[in-house]
Amino acid sequence: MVRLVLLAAGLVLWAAVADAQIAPCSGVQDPGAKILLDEIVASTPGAANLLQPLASRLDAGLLQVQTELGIDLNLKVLPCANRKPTGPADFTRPVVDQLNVRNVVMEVWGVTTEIRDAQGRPFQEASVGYVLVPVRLNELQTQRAPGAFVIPYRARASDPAADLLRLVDQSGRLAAYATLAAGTRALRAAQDAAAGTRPRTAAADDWAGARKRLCAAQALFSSLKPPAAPSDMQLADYARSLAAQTIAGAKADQRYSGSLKLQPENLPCPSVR
Amino acid sequence: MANSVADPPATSVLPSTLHVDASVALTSPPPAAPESRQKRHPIEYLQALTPLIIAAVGWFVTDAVSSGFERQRLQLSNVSEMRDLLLKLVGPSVTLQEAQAAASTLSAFGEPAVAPLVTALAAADDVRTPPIEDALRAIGLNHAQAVCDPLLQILKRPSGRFTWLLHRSAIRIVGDIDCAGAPPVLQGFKNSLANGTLKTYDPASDDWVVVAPEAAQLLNTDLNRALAR
Repeated sequence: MVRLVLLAAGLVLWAAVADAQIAPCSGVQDPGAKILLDEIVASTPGAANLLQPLASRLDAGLLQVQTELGIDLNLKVLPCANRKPTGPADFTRPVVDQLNVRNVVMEVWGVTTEIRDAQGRPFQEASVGYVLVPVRLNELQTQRAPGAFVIPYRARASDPAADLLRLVDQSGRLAAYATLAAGTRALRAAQDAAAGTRPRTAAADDWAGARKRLCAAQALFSSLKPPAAPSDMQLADYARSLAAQTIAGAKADQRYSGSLKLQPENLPCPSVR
Repeated sequence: MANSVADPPATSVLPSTLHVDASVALTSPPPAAPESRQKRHPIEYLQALTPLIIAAVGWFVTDAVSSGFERQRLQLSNVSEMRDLLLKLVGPSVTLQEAQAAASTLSAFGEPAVAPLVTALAAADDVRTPPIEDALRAIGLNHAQAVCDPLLQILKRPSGRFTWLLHRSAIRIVGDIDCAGAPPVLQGFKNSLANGTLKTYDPASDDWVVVAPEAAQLLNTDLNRALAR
C-alpha cells in the first residue's frame, strides 16, 4: 500500500515536471561565483557549436565591465551543453536554492528559429531566458523584481553565428544582469554579516563593495539601447533601491565604521558613463 | 441363599402357576486401592506429543528457511531492479525530470534504497540533490531510523570525506524526519560551526578545510530550522 502511494506520488511529480529539461552542468560544483550559459537551441544548422564562442564573448564582456567600472566581479562563465530549461517556471525554489549554494549567480538559455516575414526576408527570432539567482530568491519570497524572465528578440539574418551571438548578448545586457546579480548577492552577505548570521570579512568593506556593484548595475541598465524591456526597467529600479539599502544598512550596522556610515541615505549612485 | 421350588406333580402336565421363592442380593465391587493405579512415564507423554512437536518444529523451520530464501530473493531482485534506476539517477545525461522519476521510484523500495541514495547524495549536483533529498524524506516517513542512522553518522563525523553540501542535505533531512537522537548531534555540529573548529572535506584539494563564511551561514540557517522543530 505504501509502495503504491509512493509510486503514485512519484508519478504525479513526474507529470508536473514533464517539460523540464534541466540537465547537469559539469563544473557547477567548482568553487567560485559563476554564470551558467546553457545550450542555445537553434534551428539553424551548426548553431550547436556556438556555445563556446558565446561563453568567450560573455567572458570578454564581463572583463570589460570590470575594467571600465573598476569592480571585481570574479565571475566564471560555464558553458553547459545539453542543459535546456523550458522557461522561468523551471526555476522553482529547490532548483534556485541549489544554484545559490553552488555560487551560481546567473543562468542564461535561449531558443532561436529562423522565420520569414511577409516579404519572404529571413529573420532570426530568439527567446533568451535569464535567471538572476539572488534576485530570483528574493522574488520567490517577496514578489518584487523579476528574477527569471524571457526576452524575445528579432534580427535580420545575415550571418547566423554573429546573429545568434548578437541576439543572446543584446547590447551588453548580460553584463548588466551579471553585475546586478553579484551586487544583490554582496548586499545579502553584508546584511547577514550585520545580523551576525555569517562571519564578517575583516579586510573587506562589505557594504561599500555591494554598493559599488549595484551602482555599476544601475549604470549598465541606463546605458542599454532603447527600447528597454519591461523587466529591464524593473531591474534598474531594483538596483537603485538596493543601492539605497546599502547606506541604510551600513548606518544601522553597529560594528561598521566604513565610509558609508557618513553618507546621506538618499545619496544617488554616481554617474559612471 | 435358599431356593425352594414346589415339587412338580407326578403327572406330565405342567401346573398353570409356578411359584419361585428367591431373594437377590445386589452388591458393588470394593473400591480399588490407590496403589493399584499405574503411573505413566513422562516419555509416554512425550511420545504422545511427538507428532505435534514434529509438526510445529517442521512448520517453524520451513517457514524460517523459506522466509530467508524469500528475503534473499527479494534483496537480489531489489538490487537488480534498483541498479537501472541508480544508473539513470547518477548518469551524466539525466535531466531534472528523469532524476525526480528515478529517485521517487527508488524510494518505493524502502530501507534497501537508503544506502545507495545516501551514496548518490554525497556526489549529487544541483540537479540530483533535490530529488534524492525528497526520496530519503519519503522513506524516512515509514522507516525513520533507517534514514536517520546513516545521516546522523555523517554529521557526527565531520572528519569523514563528506562535503559541506552533504552535511547541509543531512541536516535538512534529519530535521524534516524528526529523527530520534538528532538534537544533540545537530547542536554539537552547530557549536563546532560557531566556534570555527568545523572543517569539511574539499574534493578539489582532497583535504579538510574551514567552512567558508557563505557556506557557514547556509548551514547555520538549516541547523536553526532543524533544531526549532
